Amino acid sequence: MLTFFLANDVLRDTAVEAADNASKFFNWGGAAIALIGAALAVMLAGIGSAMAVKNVASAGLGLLSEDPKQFMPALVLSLLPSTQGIYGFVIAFMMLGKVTAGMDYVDGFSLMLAGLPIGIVGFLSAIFQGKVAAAGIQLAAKQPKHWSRAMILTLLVEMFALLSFIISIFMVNS
Amino acid sequence: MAVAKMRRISLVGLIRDKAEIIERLQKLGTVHVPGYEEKRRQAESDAETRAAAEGISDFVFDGDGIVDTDTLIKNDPDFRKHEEQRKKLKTCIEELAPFDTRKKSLFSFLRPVSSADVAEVIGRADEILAAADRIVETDSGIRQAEEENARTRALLTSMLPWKDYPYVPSDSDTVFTHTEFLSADSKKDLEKLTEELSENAPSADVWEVGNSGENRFFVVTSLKSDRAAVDRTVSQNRVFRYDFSDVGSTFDDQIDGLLTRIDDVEARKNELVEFRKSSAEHLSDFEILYDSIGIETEKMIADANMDDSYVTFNFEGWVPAKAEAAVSRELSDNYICHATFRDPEENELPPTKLENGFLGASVEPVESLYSLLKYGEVDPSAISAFFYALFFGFMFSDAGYGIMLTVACAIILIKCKLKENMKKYIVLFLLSGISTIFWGVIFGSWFGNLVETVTIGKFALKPLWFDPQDGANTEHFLAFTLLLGVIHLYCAMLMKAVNLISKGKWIDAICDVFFWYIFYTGEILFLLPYIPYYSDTAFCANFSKYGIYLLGIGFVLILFTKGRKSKNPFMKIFGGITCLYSLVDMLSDCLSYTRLMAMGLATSVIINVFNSIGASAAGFATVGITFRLVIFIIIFVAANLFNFAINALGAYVNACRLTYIEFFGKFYEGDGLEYSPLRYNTEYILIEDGGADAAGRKEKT
Repeated sequence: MLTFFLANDVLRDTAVEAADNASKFFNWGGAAIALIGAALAVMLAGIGSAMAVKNVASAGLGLLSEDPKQFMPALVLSLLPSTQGIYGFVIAFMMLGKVTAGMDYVDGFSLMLAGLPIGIVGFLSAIFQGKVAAAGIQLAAKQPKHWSRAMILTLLVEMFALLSFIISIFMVNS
Repeated sequence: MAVAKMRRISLVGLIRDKAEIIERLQKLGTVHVPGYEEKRRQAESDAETRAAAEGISDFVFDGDGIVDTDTLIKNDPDFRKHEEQRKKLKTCIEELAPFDTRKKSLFSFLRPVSSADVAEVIGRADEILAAADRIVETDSGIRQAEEENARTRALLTSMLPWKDYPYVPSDSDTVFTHTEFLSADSKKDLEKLTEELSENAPSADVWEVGNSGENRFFVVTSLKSDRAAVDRTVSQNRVFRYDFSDVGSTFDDQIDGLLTRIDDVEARKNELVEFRKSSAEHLSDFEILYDSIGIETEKMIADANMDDSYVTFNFEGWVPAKAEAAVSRELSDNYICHATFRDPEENELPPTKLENGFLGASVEPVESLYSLLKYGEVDPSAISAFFYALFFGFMFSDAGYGIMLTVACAIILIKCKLKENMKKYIVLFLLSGISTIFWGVIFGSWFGNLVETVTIGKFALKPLWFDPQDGANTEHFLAFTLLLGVIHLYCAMLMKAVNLISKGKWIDAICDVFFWYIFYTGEILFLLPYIPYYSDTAFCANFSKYGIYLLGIGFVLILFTKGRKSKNPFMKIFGGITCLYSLVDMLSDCLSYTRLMAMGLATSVIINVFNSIGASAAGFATVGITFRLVIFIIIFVAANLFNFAINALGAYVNACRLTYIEFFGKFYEGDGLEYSPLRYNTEYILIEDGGADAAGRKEKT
C-alpha cells in the first residue's frame, strides 16, 4: 500500500515536471527557431567571407612579396569580399532584436527564414567574389595602373549579396 | 566644367635655334608635342577615313611612313646614359629614404627648390654620381656581408655538436685504427647501430660526442682490419657520414675561428650601414639631380619627335587656346621662326585637358581611373562630383563620421603640401564628408545612437526626416534610394543629350534621349504601384494609368526611330524592337541603387551594436563611474575606428561603381589622349623661378 502511494507520488512529480518542460518548450520553441536563423545568417555569411578573404589576402601577399608598393590594391581587393560577413552580422543583429520569449512557432519560423537569403547567398557570393578578387590581384601585379577596374568587376558579384541582404531586411521587418 | 579648347600649332624654325626653342617651350610648359604612338594613331584614323570614303572594307593599317621615334630615342647612347644615371639615383633615393632626417610629411609633395640651387647641383653632377656609386657599392657590400655571415652561421651550427671531440679530425686515423664521424636521427637508431657493430665488428668502439635535439653525433673507432665490416654496417643503417678530412685543427679551434669571423664581418657590415646612414645628407642632391636629368631626357624626347631638314626643323603639336598668345609672343620675339595656329579639324584627335573648378576637379582622378574623356565630349566632372559626394555621404550616413572625415581632410589640405592628384582626392573626400554630415543629420545618426546610449535613453537626437533603422521605415528608405537612382540615371541621359546637341546632332538628341525619357517615365509610372512605400500612397494608382499610355507612345516612337541609321530597310522600320529589353536594363540599373540602402544601414546598425556592447561591458564593471567610462571609451574608439575604415572603403568603392557603370555607362565615350605638354615633369622638386633653362645650358657638354 505504502509503496503504491510512493509510486503514485513519483509518477505525479514526473508528470508535473514533464508538463513544466513541455510548457517551457512551447514557450521558448519559437524563439529558439528564430535564434537558429540568426545564427545561420551570421555563420554562413561569415564563413563565406572568411574563406574568400583568406584566398584573396594570400594572393595579395604574393603580390606584395614581388612589389611592396602595391599594398593599396592588395588591401582593398582583400577587403571587398568581407562585406557579406558584415551583412550577415547586421541581419543577425536585427533578428535578435525581434526575438521575444513567448513568440509562437510560426513567427519564429518566419523570422528564421529571414536569415536564409543573406546566409546562403552571402556564403556563396563571398566565395565567388573572392575568386574574382584573387584574379584582380593578378591584374594588379601585371597592370598596376588598372587595378581599379578589377575592383569594379569584383563589385559586380557583390550585387547579388546586396539584393538578398535587402530581402532579408524586409523579411525581418515584415 | 570644361575640356580646354585646343589649337593646332605648326612651327618652322632654324635648326641652330632648335635646342633653345625646346628649352623655352619646356619652361612655358604648355605645348604638347605628339609622340610616336599618337602620330601613328592619327595616321591610322586618317587612313581609315580615307579607306571608308573609297569604299575599301578590308583595310589594314601598316603604320607606313611613320618614324618610330620611341625606338630611336631608346637606342640613343646619350639618352641611355641619362636613363642609367636616373635609375641609379632612384635606387639610392629609395635605399636612403628610411634614414631621411629632413622634416617629413604624411603625404609626399614636391619640394620647392630655386633654379640657382639646381644649377649648383648640376655643376657637381660628377661628384654626386660618384657618391651614388659609393652607396650602390655599400649596398652590395652589406648584402655580401649578410650572405657571408649566413653561410658562416650554417657552418658553425654543423660544428657545434662536435665541440667535445678533443682531437684534430683530419689526423684522427692511427697506424692501426680508423675513425668515422657519424650522426643518427634518434637515440634508437644509435642503439641499433651500436648493437649491430658489436656483432659484425668486435673492435669497433662507439663514442657519443654530443647531441642537438633528438640528433646524436658520434664517432666509431675500429681496427683497420674491421673497417670493411664497419662500412657495411653503417651503410645498412639510417645514419649520416661526415667527411672532416680537410678540418686541420680541433673543433674547438674551428668554432673559435668561425665566431671571430662572424664578429669581423658583422663589424664590417655595421660600418657600411653607418656609412649609408650618414649618406642620407646627400638625399636632396640626389633628388635634384634625378629630376634635372629627367628634364633633360624630356627635352631629348621632344627633340626626336620634331622633324629636321638641313637648316630648319618643324613640328605640329597642340596648345590650349588660352596659352596660344604667350607661346606665339615668346617664339616671335626671340627667334626667326614661323608659327601658325588653327582650330582642330574634324578627324583630328587633340589631347584632352580638363579645366574644372574645385568641385569638378575633385572627381578627375576617379574619372581618369575609368578612362580619359575624349576631346569634344562635354565634361561631366562637376555633376559626377556632386553625385559622388551625395552617394558617398548616403552610404557613410553618420554625422559623427562625417565630422571626422571633414575635419581630417580640412587639416590635411591646410597643413600638408600635396601633389596635385592627392589634393583632388582629399577635396573629394572633404565634400563627401560634408555630404555625410548632411545625411547623418537627416537620418539622425550621430555615432549611431551614442547620445541615447550614454544618457541611458533619457535623451536622444531625433532625425530630421525619419529613422531608417525603424522597421516601419524600411520600405520608405528603399523607395527613396530608388528615387535617387532614377534621378542619377536621368541625369546621365541628359548628359548624353547635351553631348549630342553640342555636336549639333539635334535629331539624335531627340530620338536617342527624349523618346527614351518618355519610354522610361512610362515604365516607372506603370511600375509605381509595385514599389514598396509608393504602393501605399493613393495618388500613385492614378499615375499608373497614364504610365501605360506613356510607355506605349514611347515604344512606338523608338520602334520607328532606333533603326534609322541602319541600311537594311526592315531594320530601319523595326530596329527598335530590342528596346523592350531596355525595360529590364532600366529595372536592374535602378535596383543597383539599393546598395545605397544596404551600405547606409550597415554603417549605422554596426555603430549601434558597438555602442550597446560598450554600454553593457561598462555596466558589468561595478568599480566606479570613471572606470566604467574608461572601458566604454576604449571599446567605443577601437570599434568605431574599425567601422569607420571598413565603411569608408565600402562607400568609396560603391560610389565609384555607381559613377562608372550606371552613370558613365550611359554616355561617356572616353579613350581620349592625355595632354602631356613639354614641361618640367619632376617627381621630387618644384623649380621655383623656372630658370632651369640656365641650368640646362650649363649641363650641355
